[in-house]
Amino acid sequence: MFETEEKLFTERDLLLGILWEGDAQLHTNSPGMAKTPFGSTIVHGNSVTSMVLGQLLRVYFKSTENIKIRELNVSYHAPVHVGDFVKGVFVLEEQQKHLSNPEILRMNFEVLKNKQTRVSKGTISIEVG
Amino acid sequence: MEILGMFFEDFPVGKSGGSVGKTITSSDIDFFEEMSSWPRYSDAERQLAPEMLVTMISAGLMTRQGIYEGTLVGIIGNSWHYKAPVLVGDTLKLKYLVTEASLTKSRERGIVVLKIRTFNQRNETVAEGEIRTMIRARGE
Repeated sequence: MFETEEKLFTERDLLLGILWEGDAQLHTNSPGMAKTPFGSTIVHGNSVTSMVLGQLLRVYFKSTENIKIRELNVSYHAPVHVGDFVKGVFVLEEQQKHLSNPEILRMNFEVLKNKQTRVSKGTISIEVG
Repeated sequence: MEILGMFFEDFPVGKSGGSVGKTITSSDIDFFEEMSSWPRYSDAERQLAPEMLVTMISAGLMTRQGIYEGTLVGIIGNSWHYKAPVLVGDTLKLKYLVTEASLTKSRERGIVVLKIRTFNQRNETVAEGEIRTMIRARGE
C-alpha cells in the first residue's frame, strides 16, 4: 500500500483545471456556486486525480523512465473545496510480468479528504519497462 | 447561475460532435508538471505530455464548446485508455458520441455518458475515453 502525503488545496490549485478544462461556472463562479448544494466553487476532479497520481509516480516509482499509464478509471463521490486536505491511497492489485513484455501494474486507489470523506475511487494500470 | 449550455434533453443517445484543435506546447507540459507535482516525463529526447494532461485537455475540448456551461451539475466519473504518446507540437481534437442518457428519479437531472476519441493531426487515436456527466434537465 502507498499513501500520498496530505495536500492542502488552495485557490492556486483551481488554476490547474481552469487552464486546460475551463468550465468556469462550477470552478470560478463564487456567487453562483453559493446557491448550489456545493456551497462554493469546487476543484476540478481531474486536478485532484492529477495531484495524487503525480505523487504516486514521483515517490512510489521514483523514476518515470519507461513508465506509461495505460488505463485510468475514476468515479467521483464528493467535491474538493479550497481548504480541504486530500490524500490518495493506492493498493497494488495485480502485477503481470512476462519475459518479452513490459511489466503491468494494476492498482486500486481511493482519494480521501480531511482524513475520512471519500472523494473518488478508481483503478490505474501502469506499464513499467 | 447563467445558462449557456444544453440541457439533458439535448443529449439524446446517438448525438455526436467534434471539437476545435489544441496544439500541445512545451509550456503546457512545464506548467502541468509544476502545478500538479507530476515528475518530468520524457522518452529519450522527446518531451511527452503526461497522460493526465491529455485527459484534462480532452475534457477541455468538450467543455470549451460551451455545451454544458451552466447546465453541468458535475462529472461523476471517467475512464481512459491511452493509446499513443502525445508530443510537443501535436494538435489534439476529439469526437464524441452520446452512448447513454437517463433521467434521475427526481427528473430534475440526467446522467449522460459521452464516448470520446481524442486524436492527433495524423488522425491517430491517442486516447479513448468515457465521461459520465450529470446534467440539468429542462423538465418539460
